[in-house]
Amino acid sequence: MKKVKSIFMKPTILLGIAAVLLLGSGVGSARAALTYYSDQYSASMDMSTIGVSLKENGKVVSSKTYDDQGDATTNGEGKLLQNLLKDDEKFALGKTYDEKLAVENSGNIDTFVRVVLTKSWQDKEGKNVDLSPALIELGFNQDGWVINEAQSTDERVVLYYTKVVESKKTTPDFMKTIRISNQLSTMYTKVEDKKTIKYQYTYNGYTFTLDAEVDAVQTHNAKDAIKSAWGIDVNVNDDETKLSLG
Amino acid sequence: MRKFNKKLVLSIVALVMISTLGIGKALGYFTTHTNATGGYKMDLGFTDTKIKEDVDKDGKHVVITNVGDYDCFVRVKVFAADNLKIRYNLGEDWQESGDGYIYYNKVLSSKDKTSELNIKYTLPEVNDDNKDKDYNIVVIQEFTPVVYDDQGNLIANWQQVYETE
Repeated sequence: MKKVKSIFMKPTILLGIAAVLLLGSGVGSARAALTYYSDQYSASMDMSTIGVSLKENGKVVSSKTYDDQGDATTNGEGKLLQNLLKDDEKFALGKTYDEKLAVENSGNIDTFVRVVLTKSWQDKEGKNVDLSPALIELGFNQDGWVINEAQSTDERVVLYYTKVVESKKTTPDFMKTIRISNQLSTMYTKVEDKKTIKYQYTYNGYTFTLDAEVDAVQTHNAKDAIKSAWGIDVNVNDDETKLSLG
Repeated sequence: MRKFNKKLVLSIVALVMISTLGIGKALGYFTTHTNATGGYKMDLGFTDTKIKEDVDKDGKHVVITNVGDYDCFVRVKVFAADNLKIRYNLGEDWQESGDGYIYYNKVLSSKDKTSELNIKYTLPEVNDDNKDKDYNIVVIQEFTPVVYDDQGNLIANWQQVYETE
């Protein structure tokens, strides 16, 4: 007994044991999602990959999909609103423009997904300005999607898809349209120069910006996985096919 | 003393290494995310309109041109002496309204011109009092930018009227 104790008292040995444990832990974490399940299930999950893509008007604009080696592949330019207006069309205040956004499961395991949309304004120099993001009006679709009001503000909207997104399937559009409030048409200045009267819109040359972040998480042990990844408590039904906000 | 410190430090390092074991498992869920960003720079401005008025035996012929870069709606108001009889040949595109204005009922696109508004007049009978009198018909034109209402319909907001000289 005395001998055993002395071994553990030697720091170099302790360090060695720690290193071995750490090496082993790498395997553990890579398979952590599988430890709740049988060996057979574990074997099938070995090739599991998770992936998510954001689609704008039917085209993938951004995606991140992992392969079975754990390496991520990204696709798309990551840009939104590049084709907002048709050729020769002029931008108009208050006009509703199509901006259809949806999420595709580009991996091979089922996922739950959520989207965080952030709206902002930049001035002519590209600096962020304190103009109300509420003037950027987004048209949402409630088909399977739910807005978490508790997490949303004028600037940010957080939407959860309440159903599982199966591999290679695309959700219904969570957003359909974008519109800039016609309130901006009442904000102008009058410039009088001798016989000439000119009017200038206060916010001419300003840019409205939309950022969309899409998160996906495994459906197995979804409640804990979502808590861990997104930091939010959700309710998940027993067969892990639907979620609802608490 | 020095030896003791080395032991202590190594032991602490070992403990820290072991304590991180739990973190690996907590991060072991399958997750991914992607994002995209984009903006649109708004080109907002006021247009400018010019009125062309020709007078001949058939009256005054008014055509308004949108000389600016933005679409608009236009309307005119006609002022004339009380004893001049005025009537309008509106064509299909002009419309009289109870508020005293005559409205062009289409969007006047950038660089486009309206169809003609013909203002006809009948002079009063000539007598000694008015034989040398001149009569004026004054046309005021106004425009308002094209905007969309909350339902996405095109509207002319005549509460917001602009004149350019």
